[in-house]
Amino acid sequence: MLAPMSLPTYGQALTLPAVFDQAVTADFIDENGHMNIGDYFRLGSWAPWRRMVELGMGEDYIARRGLSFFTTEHQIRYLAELRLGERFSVHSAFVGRSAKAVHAVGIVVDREHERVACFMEVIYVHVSMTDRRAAPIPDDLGAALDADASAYGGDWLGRSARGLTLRRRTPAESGTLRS
Amino acid sequence: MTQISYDDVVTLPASLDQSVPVAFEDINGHLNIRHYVGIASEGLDDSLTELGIPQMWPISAGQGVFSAEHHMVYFAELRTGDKITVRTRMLGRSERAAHVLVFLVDETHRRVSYVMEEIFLHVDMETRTTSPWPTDVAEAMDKRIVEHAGLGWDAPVSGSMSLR
Repeated sequence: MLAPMSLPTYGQALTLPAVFDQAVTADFIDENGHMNIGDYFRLGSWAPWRRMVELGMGEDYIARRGLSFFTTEHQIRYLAELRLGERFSVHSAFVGRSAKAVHAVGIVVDREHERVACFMEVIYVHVSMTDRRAAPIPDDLGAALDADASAYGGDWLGRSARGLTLRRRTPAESGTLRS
Repeated sequence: MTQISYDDVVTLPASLDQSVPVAFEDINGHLNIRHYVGIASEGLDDSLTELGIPQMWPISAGQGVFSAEHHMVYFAELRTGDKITVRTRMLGRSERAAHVLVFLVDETHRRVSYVMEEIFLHVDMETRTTSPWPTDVAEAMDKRIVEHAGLGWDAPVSGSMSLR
């Protein structure tokens, strides 16, 4: 088991850059009458990606540099429903990185009820599109990610984002249920 | 998490037998992650239907199922044309929650491409708060949990979530 985590508060989440700020539209509503988890997932996982585009990855990273990121792991907690017409924003932050991987979060914030609706962690592995294998993050993008990680989040982010780790887990940490 | 054995996972029944359509590719030229989640969730829905939880449960019975937590590991890319199946293993349940593993299996390369671990909750749609599983659903779940516990391989859980 990893160390216990504490979820970010509404106020903490709002200190992070907002990548999306919009209302729940009818096409997000599922048979349960609320925003479908597929939309939480799409927007929450897209937020750190969009932020990397803004921070210098650009829209044409693959074509220009032959490099990209593949997602390898997600940890998601769904904390509150979002109903038709309610306003929400989606925020992104970088928790840390290694030479070839990035640990980021996407947070969906319910602006009507002033609470965190979804907390999502992601691990990206940086890859060469030539052999589709892990490759070092270029210095310029790495520096931009490091600067963003220093500018936003602080200690609370590290305490919140404990569901995933950049380090390869030992079998004891992964665990199994005995059959 | 360590790699999961294809031979183990295919002891579970298959649903959603299909090939990856070209429209599901993203800029990386592989099945986009949101389709991993979508296809796995659809396979889970199929297995829940067998337990007495139909897709239209909120409308037909005023009861629903809300996802509470996910842990997902993407082991291997899926490309257009790859044959895939979804296989669901029921791990356990409490009075008002359940714990499952959903595997997206690459049948072409005989490997597990993705695992989605989930905890979901039973919800009374009138109050939109959790409530105990109906007796018939609880009994069907318990039967399946026992059946899956006897498969002969340990469930590769993340250790990051547990039933409440």
